[in-house]
Amino acid sequence: MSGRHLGLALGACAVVTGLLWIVLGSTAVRALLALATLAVPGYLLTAALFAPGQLTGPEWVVFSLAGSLLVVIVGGLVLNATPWGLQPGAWLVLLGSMALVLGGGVWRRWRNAVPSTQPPQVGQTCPTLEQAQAAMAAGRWDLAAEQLEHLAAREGAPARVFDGRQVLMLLLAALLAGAAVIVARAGAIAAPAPGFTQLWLVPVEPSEPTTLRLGVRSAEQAAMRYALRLEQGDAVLAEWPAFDLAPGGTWETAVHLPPAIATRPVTAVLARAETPGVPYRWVVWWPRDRGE
Amino acid sequence: MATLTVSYLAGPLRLTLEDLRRLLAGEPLVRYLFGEVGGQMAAPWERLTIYAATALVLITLPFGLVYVWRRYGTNTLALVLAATALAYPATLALRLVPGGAEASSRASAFVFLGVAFVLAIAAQEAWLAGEPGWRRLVIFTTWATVIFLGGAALGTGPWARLPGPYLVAADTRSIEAEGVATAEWATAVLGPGHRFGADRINRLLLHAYGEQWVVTGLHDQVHVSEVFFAPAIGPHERDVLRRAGVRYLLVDRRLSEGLPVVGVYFEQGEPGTFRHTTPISPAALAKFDALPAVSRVYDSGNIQVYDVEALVDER
Repeated sequence: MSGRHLGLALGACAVVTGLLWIVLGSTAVRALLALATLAVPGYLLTAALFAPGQLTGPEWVVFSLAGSLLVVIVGGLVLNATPWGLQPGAWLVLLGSMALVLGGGVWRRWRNAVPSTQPPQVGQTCPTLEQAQAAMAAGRWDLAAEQLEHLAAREGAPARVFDGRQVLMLLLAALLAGAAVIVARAGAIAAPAPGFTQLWLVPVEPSEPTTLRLGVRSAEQAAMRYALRLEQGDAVLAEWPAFDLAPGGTWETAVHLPPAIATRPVTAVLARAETPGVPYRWVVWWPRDRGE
Repeated sequence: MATLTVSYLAGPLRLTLEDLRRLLAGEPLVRYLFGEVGGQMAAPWERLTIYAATALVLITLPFGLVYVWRRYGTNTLALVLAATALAYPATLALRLVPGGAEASSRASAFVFLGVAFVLAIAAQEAWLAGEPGWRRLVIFTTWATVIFLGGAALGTGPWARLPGPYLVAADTRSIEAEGVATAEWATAVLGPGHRFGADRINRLLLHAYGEQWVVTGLHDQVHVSEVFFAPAIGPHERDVLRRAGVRYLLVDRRLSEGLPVVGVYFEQGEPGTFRHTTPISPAALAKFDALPAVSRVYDSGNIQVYDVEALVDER
């Protein structure tokens, strides 16, 4: 695709991406498209600010990322001041409009530029240094840059790419960054993780406070046998004297309280089977309408 | 968002200025470098590397600034970066007062953009521009390595490194399985979007893993931390909960096991911010167990979740 079409194509991509963002519900797809939506304005901003040939490949990447950050930060401040705030729809309108406006700017800038960065073919007129200087004097920086690019190519100027040493340095930097991630991950994995057990007692539905959800989940280091008792004052409402849970295992039940007793607090006491008299975890549920 | 950002960044700066004012007024307000934090201290070789790195940066900066002025005196971007680097010595001075370390650490991320640029120019001009040779290479490599290692050691103290046991309010060292499991339980059993009051670490987990709305002084303009510190729940605490619109409170009993490594249990603005001398009282954290109408809906040993809707709704 030629440069002159690239801006508009990217602008259109941004809009389509935004629409897909709304239509598609998948979190992963939305995240991916959101990244693209955020990246496009930065690229277009760079393309609109710099003349063709003015930046090298790595500079494009750096300026595009920095431009994207700039757009997001300033855009966030602007949106926050509007009645719509920082909502996905508002972001979509802002980034989509910016992509379209910037895409138009890029198209205008690149439309006036020399269509190809290749040196003129035999029979074609090659720009001269004087022509480039005249273009600069006229404020046509994009055209001047393009002509200078041609002149450089004709003079056999070396292409602006990484040499071997720079590639080696980049690889070492990437290796260092990768090693840092591995070290950080290994440290987190090796962190001590003592076992624990979760116990909960909540209403199944706020509108139905007489039915409670009682649950136990084990995150212990080994399988464990538990004993569970549901009490109200001195009365035992229900009892589960022994059940086993493997690490990661969950036990849950729904407990229906008769209306007559659903007015006083209910306590669930969990013990380990080897020490049945010693509470290991406990929870309590107070009915809402008889709190005090 | 802008207001929040300003508040977030201005908090440590305000505290630092207050500490500096007190220091100038003659109050005994000295922060000892490399003091024990969370029962851990930097190893002697680390301290030496940090001092060496700081010294190398301070020595190299003036040369780099001269080179920048000579070679890039008309380049606006270069001059902006050089001006940013000038702030480096000031950020070091901040570390001498108790509240200043936080401001200094936060400033480093920005100041080092300029410092790195100026140091790179100095290295290029002083060592790398001439004839290549082993001597130059060794000097440059040693110089760069010491600065890199010293910066890493200064930025990430021993208490922040993994692996290691749980520490109270110590960011990386406080993120562990029980807190994560509690947050995941919250979204699975309670459902997302409830207003929660919790300490600094569990707040992060409840928001990230639990999809809950965590109340903060910064955003909600009400400090729920007062309720946790209070020895009992009185009219003021009920009013705080009411203004915060909190439905659940998460209590992590481990908070009473030590001082907060980062200076706060909950957030800036809590009683004793950056100046805690005794851990939060275990009795203060246990007071919710004895409150009528407050349901203890979750227990995982160290962490309990209380439904305080009844307190909020009471008139």
